[in-house]
Parts: sequence; structure tokens; C-alpha cells
Amino acid sequence: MIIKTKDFGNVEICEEDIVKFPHGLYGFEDSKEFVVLSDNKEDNPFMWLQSVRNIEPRFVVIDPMKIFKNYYVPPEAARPLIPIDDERDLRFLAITTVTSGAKEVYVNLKCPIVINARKNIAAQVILDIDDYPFRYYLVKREG
Amino acid sequence: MLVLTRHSGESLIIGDNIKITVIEVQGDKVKLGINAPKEIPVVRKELLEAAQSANEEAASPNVELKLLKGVLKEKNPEKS
Repeated sequence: MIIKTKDFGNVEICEEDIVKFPHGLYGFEDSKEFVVLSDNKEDNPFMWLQSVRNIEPRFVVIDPMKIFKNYYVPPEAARPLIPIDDERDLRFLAITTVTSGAKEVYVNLKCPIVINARKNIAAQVILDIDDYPFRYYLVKREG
Repeated sequence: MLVLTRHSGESLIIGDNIKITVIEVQGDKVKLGINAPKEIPVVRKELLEAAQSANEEAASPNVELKLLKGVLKEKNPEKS
């Protein structure tokens, strides 16, 4: 199936690529199917979490462990929301805000997306952990 | 809105399986204990609202990924 994207144009995906979000994302509760798209030609840690149905919403995401090697999401945080048989199936993504012209770039480490990669089911969680901020700045405009 | 008065140590039940207990009252702070089935997420309202606005802010930027390629290296973040 072909989906429309802003950055990569039309992209062909298959059913197995689709990650289901039974609860949507916070503020986007109706968006229940996404694909993760990366630019294969580039060695780029940032990826798109692209809605399957529409060109929007789409989010820039990154593996939070690329920022903090020991980044940890307690599986209990996701257990109410998605089935977890084995913690080793879990993958994480952090939503990244990029302001116009990439003048500011910051990563939401407070609300990671937890993916059961075996079942392709995911949910966004809120971590009540003070060490992880809503805005971890990678680029910050001074003044 | 249903308004109930409870003392410390007293509880209320919502539905079949959610119990909220007033653990302690101190000044304008109330400590609550919540027993709920694990499939029911419990979250502080201001955190939920912050999560929603963070997503709204991040949604659908007009940016190309390749523009971000070097951002992480430049930042050279501390590894915890």
C-alpha cells in the first residue's frame, strides 16, 4: 500500500510495517496507525513516525537511548496500555520537536512511545520520573 | 459534579473495582491512595495536559530529516 508523506513523497509500505496505537497519542487519540520511516541512505538517528491514514500527524522521533544510553522505561508504565509478554520485545521512541528552520530541537523524554516490536502494538506513556524532562534540548536558541 | 466529604482514612469506590482512599490531609494538600485494575492508567491531570500540548507542538513539522542529521553529534550529550 502507498502512503503519502511530506518528506519522502509517496512511500510503499506493507501491512507488517504498521504499528498500531490502540489509544492513539496524547492529544491525537484518533490516530491509531503509524509507520516508522527512516532515510536508509543517510546515517541519521532521527526518523518519522508517520500516520498511515493521512499525511498528518507526523512526528520526528529518535531512539532515546541514543541520547541517554541508560534511558529506562519501567514496563509497568506501559502494561495498562499494551500487551507485554516479554520485556525484551520492547522498543522506545521519543518525540522530537523541531521548530521552524530547526532553530530549536528538543526531545520529549517524559512521554516515550513504547512499542511491542513482536506484536507491532504501541502506546505513549507518561513517566513520573524527574530526571526525564518534557524538553531535552539538542538545539537551543540563546536569549 | 458529585461532591462528597471524606475524612482521613475513609474511602470511596468507583464502579466495581476502583477504590480511592484519603490517606492524609495537611493544609491544602491531600494524599490519596488509589487501587485500580492495572489496565486503568492513573495520571496527574497536569501531566496529561502537558503531554498533550507537547505532542501538539511537535506534530507535523515542515522539516526534512536530513536537516537534523548532525544535530545529535553537535550536541555531544553526556551519557548517563
